[in-house]
Amino acid sequence: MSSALSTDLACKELVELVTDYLEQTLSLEEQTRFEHHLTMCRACKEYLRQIRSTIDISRKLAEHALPPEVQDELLAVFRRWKTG
Amino acid sequence: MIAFKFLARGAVGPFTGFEWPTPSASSPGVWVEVPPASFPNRGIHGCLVEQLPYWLDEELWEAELDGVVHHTPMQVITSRGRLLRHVVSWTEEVAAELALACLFKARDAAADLLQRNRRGKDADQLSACADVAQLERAARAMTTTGEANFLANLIGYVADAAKRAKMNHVGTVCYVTADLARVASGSPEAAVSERIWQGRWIAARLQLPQTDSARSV
Repeated sequence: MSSALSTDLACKELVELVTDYLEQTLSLEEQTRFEHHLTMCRACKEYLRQIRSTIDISRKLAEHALPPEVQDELLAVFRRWKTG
Repeated sequence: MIAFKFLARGAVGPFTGFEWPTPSASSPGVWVEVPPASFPNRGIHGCLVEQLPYWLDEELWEAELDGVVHHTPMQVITSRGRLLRHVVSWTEEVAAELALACLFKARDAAADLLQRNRRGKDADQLSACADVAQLERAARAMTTTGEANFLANLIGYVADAAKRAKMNHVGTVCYVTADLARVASGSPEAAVSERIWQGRWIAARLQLPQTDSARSV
């Protein structure tokens, strides 16, 4: 049996891994390290909750939810940004 | 196999938010299964007695795990599982007791090392601390002398553990005190042994049924 504590994860690493965790692409060992860190770090637990919440809110946004004038304005901004 | 699960309040998975079907007075909870293709990356997670301290949370449940079994050092993963009973004797008060047991064990280990390094006065001072605040103050004072050495680092662990105990961060106290054992001995196995001790403390305190030994994994 290997040392469980050799699997420690720092908050910075968790932030780097959060997308892979949510997309379920972490290896089992990485996932265990990630979740073990969450059991001890309230800040990271809250960070994950906020990321999940942001994703849920973003999913509810649909293209047609934008009024045409806002859509035009956004497109104009993007075009200016690309050419400027 | 019989194993345990720590869940958030309301029998909710702490990471997934999954709401576990709970047992009724006469029957266990409904079986929950994962698709075989995703196993073991997705699975039903449980822990043996000696793996309990890694996953402390608000509620402790006894569970039956079945199907394909995948053992890891920190948990057991199976393809199906169900909840058998809520271990209601796991409470905030018992968690706080666990934190104190770990903290004072760490205090004694640090005091023993101080004694063996001809710092008997500091060792006695640490040993005499009978409450968390007093221990934190004493340990912190010993680490603010500007000494950057092995013993100062070790006593810093005691001060950190005491601080976390005051904040009721029990999981962190268990972690810090296990890591102190690793640092003190220079062996990662010492931390694992400390975790096993913590798991057995929980099992004895709550009179949990025996599970297979994680050591034999």
